[in-house]
Formats: sequence, C-alpha cells, structure tokens
Amino acid sequence: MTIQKRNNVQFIGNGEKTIILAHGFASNQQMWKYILPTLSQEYRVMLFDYVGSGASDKTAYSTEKYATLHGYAQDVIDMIDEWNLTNVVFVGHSISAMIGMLASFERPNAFSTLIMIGASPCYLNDGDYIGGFTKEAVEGLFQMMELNFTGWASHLAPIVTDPERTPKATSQVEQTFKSNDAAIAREFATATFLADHRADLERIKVPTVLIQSKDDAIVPVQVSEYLHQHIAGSELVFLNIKGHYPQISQPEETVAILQRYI
Amino acid sequence: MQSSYSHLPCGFLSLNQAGVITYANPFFCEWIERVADEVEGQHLEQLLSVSNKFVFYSYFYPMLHINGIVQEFVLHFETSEEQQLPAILSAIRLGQGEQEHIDCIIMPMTQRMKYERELRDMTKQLECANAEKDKAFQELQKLHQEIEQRQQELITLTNTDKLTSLYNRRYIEEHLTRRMQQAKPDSFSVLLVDIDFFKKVNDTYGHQIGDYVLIKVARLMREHIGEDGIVARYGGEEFLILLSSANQQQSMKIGKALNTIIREYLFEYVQHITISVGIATYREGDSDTMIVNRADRALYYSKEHGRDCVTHFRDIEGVLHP
Repeated sequence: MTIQKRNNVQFIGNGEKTIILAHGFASNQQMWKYILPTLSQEYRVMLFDYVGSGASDKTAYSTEKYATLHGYAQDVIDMIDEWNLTNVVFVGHSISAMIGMLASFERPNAFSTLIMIGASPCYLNDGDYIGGFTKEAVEGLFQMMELNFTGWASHLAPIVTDPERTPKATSQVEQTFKSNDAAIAREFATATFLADHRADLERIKVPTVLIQSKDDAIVPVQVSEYLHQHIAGSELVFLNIKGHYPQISQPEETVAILQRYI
Repeated sequence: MQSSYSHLPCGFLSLNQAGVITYANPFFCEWIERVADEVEGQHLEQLLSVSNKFVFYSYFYPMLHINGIVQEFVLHFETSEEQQLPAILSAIRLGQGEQEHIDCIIMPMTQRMKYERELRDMTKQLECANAEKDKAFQELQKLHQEIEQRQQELITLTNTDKLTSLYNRRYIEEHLTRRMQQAKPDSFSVLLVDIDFFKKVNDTYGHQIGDYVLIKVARLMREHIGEDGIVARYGGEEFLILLSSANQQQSMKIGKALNTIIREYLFEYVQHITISVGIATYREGDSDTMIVNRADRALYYSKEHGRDCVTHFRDIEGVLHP
C-alpha cells in the first residue's frame, strides 16, 4: 500500500512553497475546500486524510498505533519522507496542531512554519489550567457521539478492515457516519481528549503562528494564551469571529491571515 | 412566509450564515421554555451545553457546510434552567452569498430517547452476557486442556518405574508386542541386563544404597543408549533394553560397551559393580515371549560363565541344543 493511497494524498497547485493542510478530529481534507482555490494559486498544497478518516485506507488503521497522537504524527512523518518535503508550512486545524508539533520534533528540518488553527494542548481542565472541558462534559460528549454514530455504543464494535466495505470517495451525501467508522472515531476522540501535550510546547523549534477565533466554543481564550506563553517566539492572532472552523465559516479572512504568515 | 412555520407541529429555526438564529417558531420557543426574544439574535451554540457544542462544531457544522444538508442529527438543547432536551435535527443550507442561510427542523425526542436508552442498556447487557459467555467458554477450554494434561501425566505415571524413572515392565512389554508386528529378521534386538551380586549390595550396604545403585546403573545405561533404543526396568535388579535397529553384531557391541561403562564406573559406597548381559535378535516367526526368553537364556549363560560379560543367544544356540 502506498502512502499516497493510504492517506489519500493530493497535491494541488505548482507553487514553490509546499503547504500541508492537516484536518482535525472527526473530519477530513474537505474541510479545506473553501480556502484551497486561493492557496493553490500561489502554493503547492498538500491535502490528506489521516488513517481512519475520510477516504484513507482504513485497513491501515490499528488501535495500538493510533491510540495516541504519535500514531497520527507518524502519518505526517511518513508523508514528509515519501516526498522528501522540506521548508514546509504546516497548517494544522484543531488537534492536528499538536500532531504537526509532534511531527516537527522528529523532522525538525522539514518545517519552516507551524500554523495552528484552534489549537489546544489539553482539553481537560487540570487544576488552574482551563482546557474548557470537565470530565463530565467529556462523558456527555461521548454520549452524544453514541447517539449519532451507529455502532458507537458497542464497545466491541469491530474496526472493519475489509477493503470491500471501506467507503470509497464520498460521492453521495454522508448523512450519518458509517458504523465501521464509529470505533475509529471513538478511539480518535479518546486520543484527543486524553492528550496532554502542555509539557511538549517548549520543545517547539519551528516558528509558530496561532490563529484563533475570538469566540470558540471548543477552545477557550485562556488556552490560546497558554499556548502563546509556552511556545517561544509564537505569534497569536485572534480572528474576530465565532466558531471552531474559521476556514469554513470565514474562508476569506482565514486565507488572508494564512497568506500573511506563509 | 415565516407565519406558515408558526403552526408546525415541530421546532423550526432559521439561522444566518454565522449561525445566529434569525427566526424561531413558537413550538421551538415553548419547547425549550424560552421566549422568542431570548432565542432570536442568539447564536445557536448559546442553546447548547459544552458537550453538545463540541458535537455541533465537530460534526454538524462541518457536515452541513460540506454537504449542504444534515439529517437525523441528535443534539440536546438547553432550557434556561439548564435542563437538557433531546431532539433530532435536520438542516439544510440554502441561498448564495448574502442570502445564504440555514433552515433546521427540530423534532423533540424525549420519548424516543427513553427507547434509545432502553436499547442501549439492553445492548450493553447483551454484550456483558456475551463477554461472560466467552469467558466461561475460555475457562472451559482451559479446563479441557488441564484434563488432557492430567491424562498425559497419568499415562506417563502408569508407564514409569518410580525409582529409576525408566519405563516399567508393563510399558516395555506392550511396546515390544507392538514392535513384533511387521518386523524383519535381524531388524532389532533385546538385551536383558542383570546387576551381578546385587543381593550382596543390599545385604551389605542396605536397601538405600541398593536403590542408589539401581538409579545410577539405570542412568548410565540410558545415557549410553540415548536415541538408539528404550531402557526399561524389568524387575528387581533386571533391565530390558530394546535396541530399535540393532542386528546381532551391533547389539553385541552395545552390550559390551555397557559392560565396560558399568565396570569402570566408580560408585559411591560400593565402589565397583558389574553387570551380565544376554541378547537376542529378532528372527522370523518370533513372538515377544520367545525373544525375551532367548535373551534370558543368554543372560543365564553369562551368569554361569563368570558374569561381567555379554552373550548373544545365537553364539550359544548350538551349545544349549546339542
């Protein structure tokens, strides 16, 4: 299985500089579709789906590997190695910001800039640290997922590895999540909410830009300030907008900010 | 237009592109126990708990923007008293540019949620029951393996001589009977070994030392025979060795070697002992009794002719039967 197929990697545009757009939890590369046309005019944009997400090859998924964000970071490292990428601008949305950071530790020379959109190093509250989520809220969240995913409720739900049953490119509207994705989504959720990478922040050597909606229900302002304080030389840019998906809700503003820092 | 929604038997919300509620029908307001002024002008997320916000932003919102439509999405809305009300949401994105907006239908599902919970509980119970069943099955399998192992141990026990750990008479006789079938002339040999003057060892040094000698002799012989045959304790101080592929010549060689090994071994307490050996090699029409009988007569010959020696029955056949 090639890395290209495994992660459904697409290169769009012919610019000299390569930009990796990395989607977040429970998402896929389509999240970038509104800002892609503008970016690909100037840059070579790499899109991909993490193993287990979107149109990736789900047979490559293993519970053991993807139990922590390091498994997802390995996806990024594999892609960097496969295409010998250097001087890359890595744009990570949501949990992907931390995944990009982990990858940058392993391939420090491959990255020129880390751009983190709606990032958080730790979602759970912990003493004075406000991550935005209490344990109860996370439980509630899992319950909500249970109600919206067939098979989510079953702790024994197998991760389907039969390629025949792996959903191909999503031509038709996906109104519900497929049951074979449920176990993966649950594990991705667990990996996301168990993640605590606060101690890693000071190891970041790549220039980092934090882009944050001013009013993000998932990432409290304190988290962005925490990141800004703990990542040496980082820049924090607040967008005067609402929500966790600026690249979807305010694509023009988002792309303008991105262009300023690329 | 919006007046036509006011009589709908379900909630109806219209949101602008940013997610701010521009219209909420009376059914919806009544359902979440808020007045229209509290709802309209608010962002939808204001009506959601933290968990629901996350689900809304992680799934509902991106899906709606990518696919233009979301169906049967479950969310809980919060009343002003922070009570959680479950509902099924279907939403569609309409219009272009400035006109873009989102229409949502909200079906309360408090009753349905009870069924869901029941189903979920039942599923969990079933899974637990299944897991218990699997566990019980595994335990059963483990028990089976243990029984099998015990059985093997039992078989070994019934075939083994307790003192020397060699095969016992029972086993070697059975084995010999099996070996007789389809055997070819000169294909194997039987050695009978007797420790010379063993009674004297017992009388002089006691039974414990006697036992020590038996164990030692057994081990020395087994080490020498190795894979070439089976050594068994045949009775008191008598051993039967089945050499599985030795003819007359080869069996004599091995017999003599055994003789030397025992003679030269320095035993504790008793210093030196010797053995007498009688050998018979399989011949046409043989039976297990016959071959052992011949080996016994050869052994007797060794005993009668000075002990500490090896006799093959064929070498004395003429002498015994003039």
